[in-house]
Amino acid sequence: MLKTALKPRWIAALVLALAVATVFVLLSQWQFSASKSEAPPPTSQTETVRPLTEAFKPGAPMLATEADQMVTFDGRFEPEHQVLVHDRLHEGDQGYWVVTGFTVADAPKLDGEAVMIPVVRGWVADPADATAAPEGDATVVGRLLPSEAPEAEHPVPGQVPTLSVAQLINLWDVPSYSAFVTATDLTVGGEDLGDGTAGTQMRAVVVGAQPQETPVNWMNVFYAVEWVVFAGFAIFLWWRLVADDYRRTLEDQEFAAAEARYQAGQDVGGTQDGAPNGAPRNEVSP
Amino acid sequence: MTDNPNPQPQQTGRRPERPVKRRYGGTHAQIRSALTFYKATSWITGVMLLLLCVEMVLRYGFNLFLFAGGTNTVTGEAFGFGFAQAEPAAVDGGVNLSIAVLIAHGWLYVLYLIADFRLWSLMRWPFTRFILIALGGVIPLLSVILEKKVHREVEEDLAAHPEAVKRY
Repeated sequence: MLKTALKPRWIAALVLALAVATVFVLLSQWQFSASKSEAPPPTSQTETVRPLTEAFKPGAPMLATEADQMVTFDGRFEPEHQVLVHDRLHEGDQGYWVVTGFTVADAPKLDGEAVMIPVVRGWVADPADATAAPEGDATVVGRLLPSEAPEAEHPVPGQVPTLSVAQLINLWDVPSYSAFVTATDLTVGGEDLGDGTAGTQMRAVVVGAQPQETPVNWMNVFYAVEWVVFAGFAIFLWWRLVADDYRRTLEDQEFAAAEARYQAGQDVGGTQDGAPNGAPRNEVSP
Repeated sequence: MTDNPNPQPQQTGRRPERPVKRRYGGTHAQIRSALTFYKATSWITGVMLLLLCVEMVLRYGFNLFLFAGGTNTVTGEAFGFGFAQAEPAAVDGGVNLSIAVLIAHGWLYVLYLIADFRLWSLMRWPFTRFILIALGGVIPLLSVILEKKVHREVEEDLAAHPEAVKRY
């Protein structure tokens, strides 16, 4: 058996089987890595307030690693650029988000124009409760969030169905960061206004950090197991082929012996053994 | 690896039977059972592959998936059974049967490979034939056509070698 396995063609086949098995194990590893989504950035990173101009650039798409960052930026609200986003819940109540454009003072300009970022100033139950944004130099601290997808609907004046920055850019005709911010702290004219809802019917919109667990995709886990089984099968198949070759060698000897007896017309009526006593039982070298 | 004597028919005669070179990896009964298993899996794979083709056309051509149960996301009524968009989701909850067919096909193809391996090792065919039958399972309808051809060949082989029995 070992002699058969050491034939050059079976050694070559073993190398091939090992190569195939290696590829299959790599494919298994790939499936395992695909079974776990990448974890969101740790809270130690997102909850540390960073300047917006450092954390994100206007005119660039937002990556998952950049989202949910707590940011701070200076500039001023543009009260004429304000919309309500309808169908927003606050503690189970239907209402509206009050969103105002905010010109970021030291942001890089896009096509020579100052860049805005939409700021969610609060939630109101009734559109009439939405107040105008405070004027003057302001500083906002809040969570940087990715734009929502636009949604088609019959237009309602002053309202939009989702907070889509692309839609707001068209509505307001100003360049914008492709992200928005939920304000948690406002400072206007050197005066700290807290979350900016004191003395109004607005309620602060609080968006917490992302949950840190990573969901497991079981389909990928099963595929990973499948690839390992296939890798094992590649080796098993090689062994089967070698074993079969070895048996064929034995059978050929047996056949040659039986054929010789047949040709010689030898009477073996009493003997049931296909191989004569003198026939070698062991493999002969090819 | 036993060296069992090869049973030969008509051992009472004066002259031994002319020896037969053909050896199988199992008895005729085992080969026939492997043949039935192979036939069943090749039909299953063939049908699943056709379903998959229809599914791919619906999915990439019309963005439609087959759903069962769940509720209609627009009207809020029970959805029942039928085709619907998945992106954006037209059905909330319920079972996406298109995805279920996809997963089932993957595992049923593995079953087909097992049937292929069993028949191939019992018949002691060359390795290329194992690969050929395996590849037959990835082209729509070919698994069924190939099965007919293989089935006939095995029957002819068995008929030609009635005394070629299991060697190990």
